[in-house]
Amino acid sequence: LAKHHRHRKKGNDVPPAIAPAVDAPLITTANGSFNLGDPVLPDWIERRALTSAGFPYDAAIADKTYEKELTLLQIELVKLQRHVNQTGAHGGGVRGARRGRQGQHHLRRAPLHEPAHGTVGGARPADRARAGASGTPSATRNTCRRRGNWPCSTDPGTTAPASSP
Amino acid sequence: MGFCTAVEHRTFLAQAPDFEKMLVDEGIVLCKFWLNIGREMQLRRFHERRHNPLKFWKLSPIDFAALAKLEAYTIARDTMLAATSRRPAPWIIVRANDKRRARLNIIRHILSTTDYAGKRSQGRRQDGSADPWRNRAHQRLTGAPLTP
Repeated sequence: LAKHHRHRKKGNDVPPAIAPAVDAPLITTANGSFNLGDPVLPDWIERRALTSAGFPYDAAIADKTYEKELTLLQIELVKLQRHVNQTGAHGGGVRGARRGRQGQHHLRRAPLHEPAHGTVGGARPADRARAGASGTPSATRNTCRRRGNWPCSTDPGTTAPASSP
Repeated sequence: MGFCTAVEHRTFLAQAPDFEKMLVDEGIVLCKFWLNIGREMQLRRFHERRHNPLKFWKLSPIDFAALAKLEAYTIARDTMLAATSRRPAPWIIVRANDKRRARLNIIRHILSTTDYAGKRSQGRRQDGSADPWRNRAHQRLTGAPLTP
């Protein structure tokens, strides 16, 4: 029994679904036909729903399994979030891997115009991590995300251009 | 469905990979998940939305019009997937008939493509042996082998 029907039995007042202005077209498949307006769901749909499109399970995941797995994964997500907050890394392994393959192309990138208030952005996340400066405020990090690829004075190995190219 | 012209459609599909590459080059981690459900599951969810007053708000006239156009939508989906699944931002197809399994798998995917401090598994199983599946997934997505 659908959840809202059960609640209705207990005396909760659920308003009925509004009838749509247009009737949905009748769907005909090899397995049977389907009329959306009919409140009774055809049996062939109920039977085939979960395994359709090659889904490899014939029963929904058990509540207990789901909760257990979700908790473990959420712990990992919190670790990931903390890692991102502390290092300012927003590329993670993806970026690290890419750097080796494509070279240091972002170091060569020059700003389109010189920022009005001098140096912005600060070091790139990886440089901060190398320097051991872990407690980066998130405000700086957000600036870096937009402009962090610009060479700047705090970025070892590169110097800020004196003027726009 | 008349949302755009055929030329606009082609232009978009041609530009999307370049645009996504620009995002990734900026350091953004871009994950594209396609949540795929079967026809019967789709009809069951439609039915639930149509007859459950708590879910009716999810339905729109567009859904009614789209209901009978499965083939056109399938073609459009396949065209889109073929045109825009490129490195460094490939599509990840998620089997989503079971919403909760799909949710777990999406989280797993995000975690498996990202390295962070204190990770529970660095390309290794709980017993310490190498996990070839995770290494393969990592290599496919990033173009580089995983070094735990």
